[in-house]
Amino acid sequence: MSGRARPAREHAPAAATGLLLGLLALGPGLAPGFVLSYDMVFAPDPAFTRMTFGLTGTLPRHVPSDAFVTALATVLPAALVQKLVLLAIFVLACTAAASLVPSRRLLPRLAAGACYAWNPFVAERLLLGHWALLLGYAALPWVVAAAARRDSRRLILALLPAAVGGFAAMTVSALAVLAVTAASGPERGRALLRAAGPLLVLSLPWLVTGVLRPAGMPGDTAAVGAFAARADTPFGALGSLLLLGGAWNRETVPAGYGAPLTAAVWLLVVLGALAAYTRWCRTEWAGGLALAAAAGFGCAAAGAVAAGPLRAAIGLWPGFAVLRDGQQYAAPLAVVVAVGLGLAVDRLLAPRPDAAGAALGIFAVLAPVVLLPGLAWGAGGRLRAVDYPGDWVRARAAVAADPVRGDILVLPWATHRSYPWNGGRRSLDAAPRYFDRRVVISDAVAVGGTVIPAEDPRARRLDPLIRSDGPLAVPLAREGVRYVFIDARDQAFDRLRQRLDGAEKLVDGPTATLYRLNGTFSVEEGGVPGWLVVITWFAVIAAIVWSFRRSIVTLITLTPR
Amino acid sequence: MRIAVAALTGILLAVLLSVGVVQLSAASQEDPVIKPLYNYGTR
Repeated sequence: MSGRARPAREHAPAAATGLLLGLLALGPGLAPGFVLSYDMVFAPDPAFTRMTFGLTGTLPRHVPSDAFVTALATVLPAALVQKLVLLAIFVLACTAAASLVPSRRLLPRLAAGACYAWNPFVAERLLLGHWALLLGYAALPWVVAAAARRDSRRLILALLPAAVGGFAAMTVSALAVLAVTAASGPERGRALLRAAGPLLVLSLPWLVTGVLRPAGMPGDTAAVGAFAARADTPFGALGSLLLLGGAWNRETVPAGYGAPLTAAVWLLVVLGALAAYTRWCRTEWAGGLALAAAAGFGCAAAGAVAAGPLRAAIGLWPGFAVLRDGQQYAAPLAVVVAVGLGLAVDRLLAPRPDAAGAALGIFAVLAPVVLLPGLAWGAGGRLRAVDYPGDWVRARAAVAADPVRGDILVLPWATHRSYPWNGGRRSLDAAPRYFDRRVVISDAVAVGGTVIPAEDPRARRLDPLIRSDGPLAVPLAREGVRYVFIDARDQAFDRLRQRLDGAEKLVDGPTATLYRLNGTFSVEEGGVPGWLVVITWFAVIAAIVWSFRRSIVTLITLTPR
Repeated sequence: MRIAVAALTGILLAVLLSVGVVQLSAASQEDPVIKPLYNYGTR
C-alpha cells in the first residue's frame, strides 16, 4: 500500500478527540500548580545545571527530557509546560494512531486513536509519572510508518518525541524501527544500518553520559523481581500484558480496573482487534509491526516468566538491565491493538453509512473510556496539581542568595517521598529539580522489602556517614555539602537535628528545614567531560535541522492508506 | 439487523459503564493502604 497525501484537516478530528481525552484524563491535574506522581516531578523556574545534562555521575534517565522542560520553561511558566506536555501525549497518541489505520472512514480511525490514547498502558505509565516514555509511545505509530518508508529524514522527525523522552522512549522506539525496517522490503542489512543512524544520533545525549559515566553501568539483579510485570486482571501476568496493563506497581492500577466483567469484555475487544489486524492489515509495515509487537511482548514478559535467565544475562552484561521494567515494551502491541480495532470497526460499518453504522462507530470510539473509567478525572483525583509550600520557596531564596559554592544534601536519606502537601501521594524527592545547585540524595530504591542500591557514586560514598549515628555538620562540609535540606518529618527528625548541631538553621517550617554548614570544602565530581556533551548535543541538533528539510506537516500528512 | 446490533452494543456499553462506575465508587471506599513512607511502590 503506497503513501499518499492526506490533508492536514483530516487529522483535526483525531487531534480534537485526543485533546478531549487528555482533558478528561488529567482533570484536576490541569488546575494551577504542579502534578507530582512517582517519577514525574516538575518544579517552578527550573535551571540548566550539570544534572540537566547528566554530568553529575548519576544515570542519565532524565536526559534530555529535563533539558527540554527547562528550555520550554524559559519562555512559559513551568506548570503550564507540564500541562502542555501531558496534553500533548494524548493529542499525539490519538492523531498518530488514527493516521496509521488504512481506512478512509473517520470513525474507524477515531476508534483506533481513542484506543491508543486511553488504555491500561497509558493509565499505569501516566500514574507512574513516565511522561517521557509516553511521549515516545505517543509518536510510535508515526515511527512505524516512517521506518517502513526507509526515509531517514522522516524517521528523525517521527522520533523527535521519543528523543525528547530519552532512554526508555528511544529503546521502545528502536525495537519498532528495527523490526519494521527488517520486515519491510529488500536490502535489509543496508536498510537496518540506515535506520540505526537516526536512532544512534538521537540517543547520543543519554548514551554518551550513560556509557562513559565513571561508575559504569549498574546491573543490580534484585530489581528484576521488583520491576517484573504483574497480574492486574484475572488473566495472570501474561494475560494482563496482552491487555496492555501489567506494570509492576500495584499502586498505579486505575481504580476499578481488572474486575472480571470489564476485564473479560476488554479481553474480547483486544482479541477481536488482534484477529482483525491479522485478517485485514496488509500495509507495508503490517508484518514488521507484528514482529515488533511479538518481540516487545517477549521483552515485557521476560521478568515475569524468565527471571532467572534475565538475571544471568544482566550478570553477564549490565546493559540487559533495560529489560527489568519490561512492561514498557508492550507499546508496539498497543499500536497493533489500536490499528486492529480501527480495521474491525471499518469492516463493521456499511459501505454506505447510516444511523446505525454511525452509532456503532461512536460506540467503538467511546468503548475504551467505558472499559477504563478509572483513568478519568486525573485517575480519580490521583493526578492533582499542588503548589510548593512556602518553606520550600524560602529555602530556595536563601540558597540562591548565597555566593558560596557547595552542594545540597537532602534528608531523610531516601529517594521517594509521600509529601503531606501533595496529599500523601508518592513521588520522587522534588529537591533535585527544585534547587539550581547539585543536590545529593540517596537514589537507592525500595520496592516492598527489596532495596535496589544507590547508583550515584556521591550518594554511595556518603551513605556510611549518614547511616551512622555520629555528628554530620563537619563531615558533610568536608564532603562539599553546603546545605542540608530536610523535607520530610519522621520519628528520626529530632535525632537528625541533634546530629546537625553547629549548623545554622535558615528555614524551619512544618514542610521543610534548611541548615547551612560552614567551612564547606570544594569537591570536584568525576564525570563525562563537558566538551564531549557539547559535541553530542551539536550532533543531535544538526541531525534535527537536517531532517527539517522535510516539514512536520509532510510527516503528518503522508501516511500509508 | 445493523440497527439491532447498534442497539445491543449501546445497551452493553451502558451496562459496562454502570458496572465501571459502581466499581470505581467501591474502590474509592476501600480502607486506605498504609504505605511505607519512602518506598517507590508496592508489587
